[in-house]
Amino acid sequence: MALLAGAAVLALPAPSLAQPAGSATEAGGQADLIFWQSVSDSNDRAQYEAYLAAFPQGLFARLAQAKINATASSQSPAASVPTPPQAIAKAEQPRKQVASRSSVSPALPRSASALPLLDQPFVEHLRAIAMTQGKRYQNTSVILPPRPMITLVGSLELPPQFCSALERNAFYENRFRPLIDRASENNAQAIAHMERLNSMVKEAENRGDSNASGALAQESRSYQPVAMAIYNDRVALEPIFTRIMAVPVVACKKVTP
Amino acid sequence: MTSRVIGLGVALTLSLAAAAVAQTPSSEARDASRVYELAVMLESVTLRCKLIGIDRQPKFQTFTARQKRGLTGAKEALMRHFEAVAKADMNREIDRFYIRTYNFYGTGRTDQESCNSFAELMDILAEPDADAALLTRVAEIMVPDPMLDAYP
Repeated sequence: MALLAGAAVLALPAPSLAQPAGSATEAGGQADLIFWQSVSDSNDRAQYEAYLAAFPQGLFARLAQAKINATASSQSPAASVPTPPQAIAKAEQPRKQVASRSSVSPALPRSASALPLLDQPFVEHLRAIAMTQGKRYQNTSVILPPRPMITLVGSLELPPQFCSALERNAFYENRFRPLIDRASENNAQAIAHMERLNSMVKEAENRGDSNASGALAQESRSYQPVAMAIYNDRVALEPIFTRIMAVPVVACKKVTP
Repeated sequence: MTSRVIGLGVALTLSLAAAAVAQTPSSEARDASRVYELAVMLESVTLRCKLIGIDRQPKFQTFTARQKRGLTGAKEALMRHFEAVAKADMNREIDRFYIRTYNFYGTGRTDQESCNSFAELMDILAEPDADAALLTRVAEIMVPDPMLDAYP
């Protein structure tokens, strides 16, 4: 219950950022001064950037820029941290927007257009897991079916040659076939899960349970990329059979262990 | 007779306070509600996961430390909202809102898969470049209808 309760209070919170940039009103000037007083003793570059974002034409804009320049060399740039969440869209422009806002954004950014773009599958995933929490979950008169457990398919390295057709057949049976079986089983389970979800959506719609149908449809959309990846894994194995058959069979000495 | 008049006065004051709180929240307050609810959701699921033996508490702490600014901003925005709409009853109203939020998110799916999903989300929100904008965006997706809309 203690969440947020002990959090520090900023010297001047976000409202001042909402006023028009460069406002020349007296109130604006006072806000400018108060804001500046609240950050002027700080060594935190972000605070000066926040000041500049709020008062680009402010009384202390040049001073703030000088402080930023002075701290630039002593602080590691956040943009160089190689840890973007996988889910954030890879598009260059949105990433730049995120990076540029990260140091100047107020405590809570107001404009939706300034918010980062996220990959659609990740957005669907977030919606789906949110539906499992709180009384929304209780209100949903259906429990989502668990996703099937998927077995790791693994990879297969082909030998440069087989010593006999028998050896090639054994390779096919013992190494390649289990992979195909695993991938096929995964695919069958994924299809069954999708079919089950779709059938449950229809059932929920028929009985007029919009909460349940919404949650199930959300889960179905969220699982689609997973099912597609499983299908692709299965398809990717197909050409390997031809490649196995193309490996030369040559007479060679048997190596005794 | 005097007590009846006082009782009527109290009732009138309470109904006026309730009417004031029913004002439409600003977009800033709605965003703040979403962020606050997301934090409560993550805290609650973390506690429930711990109860079934899946301890993700350190991840939650890293998340709150990383997102301190956004979480503090959300709390401040909520306080401004309640200050504006509830005035003298601000503290009582905001406490009611907090309690109601915790009650709402106290329940939910709690299993290995769910705990892992939320742990991954906390990891993403605790990344060094995860800022308040990302937090707000995630909250917007996960809490499309903030509880503040239906308050009280």
